[in-house]
Amino acid sequence: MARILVVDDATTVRMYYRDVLEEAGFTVEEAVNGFEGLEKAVAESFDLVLVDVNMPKMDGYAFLRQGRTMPELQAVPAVMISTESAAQDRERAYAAGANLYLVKPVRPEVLTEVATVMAGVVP
Amino acid sequence: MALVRKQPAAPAPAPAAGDPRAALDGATAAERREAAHLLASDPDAVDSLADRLGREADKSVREAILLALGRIGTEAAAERLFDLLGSEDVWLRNAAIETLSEMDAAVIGALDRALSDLDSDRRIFAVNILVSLRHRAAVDYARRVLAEDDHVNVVAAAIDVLAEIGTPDMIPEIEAAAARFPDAPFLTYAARAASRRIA
Repeated sequence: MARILVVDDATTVRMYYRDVLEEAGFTVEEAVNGFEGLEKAVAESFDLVLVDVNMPKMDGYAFLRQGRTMPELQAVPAVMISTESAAQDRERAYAAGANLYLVKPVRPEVLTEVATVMAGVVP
Repeated sequence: MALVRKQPAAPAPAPAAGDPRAALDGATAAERREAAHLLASDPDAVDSLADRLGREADKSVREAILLALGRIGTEAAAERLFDLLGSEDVWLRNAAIETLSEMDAAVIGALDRALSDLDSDRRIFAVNILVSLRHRAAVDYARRVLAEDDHVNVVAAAIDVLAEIGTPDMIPEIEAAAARFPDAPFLTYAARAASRRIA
């Protein structure tokens, strides 16, 4: 069963991703900021990471930059999902290590499709 | 003739010693940090502090300046901190948000401008600050965003705020706000979650 780590400081967003992805058969783990996300990634293995940009303590860019240096996250596909739609935000996400950049709000069918393709495993 | 003991010459004052504003541009981080501490009790120092913050590279000095702006705590200080919400420097942006979150009433005075910003991301940051303000006006601002803002993510942020600090009588407003964006299932989801929480 594919495991997805959701890193976002907004409770409602985490709940939404969890409900949509669990409905599609994925297992979801949550983290409220980049630090917690890195801790969870060390403790457990994941097939995909969904990460927000703006979070307290450690933002999404720092999470990805640091994660890409860690064996646990080096090769895990990462989708950055942000409210920021400017081209420079997208470029910054890819430079930090994101494999895909989506702008909020994400429709449930898009979230499920992206998770299925990016996780590379059947949920 | 009596001998007159010559008084030792007084040492020349250090250029910045009596002027913390000048010391904000001092050569060492310690000097600039100390200047920020001294200016934390001077409401007229807001612009000097904020201008220095914009070009300061040392993290400890940045922290001292943010602390000083927070302690000054005037509407002018809040406005300068709101300006940082558009910064490309993520650390600075997050630090400004944290400082604003602790400033309470002073932030209220600066919210009108922040919530009217043309940049929707800045408006989202401003809305997120509402949740930590211990002020009745925070709820009113969130309700205004629900009714008036035309950006789905800003309205979503306001719904999240009311999920925390709203009351049951606001549920119709939350539902009406979500109904303004029929193509955004997330907003419907967020409205339902908020309504359940405050019901």
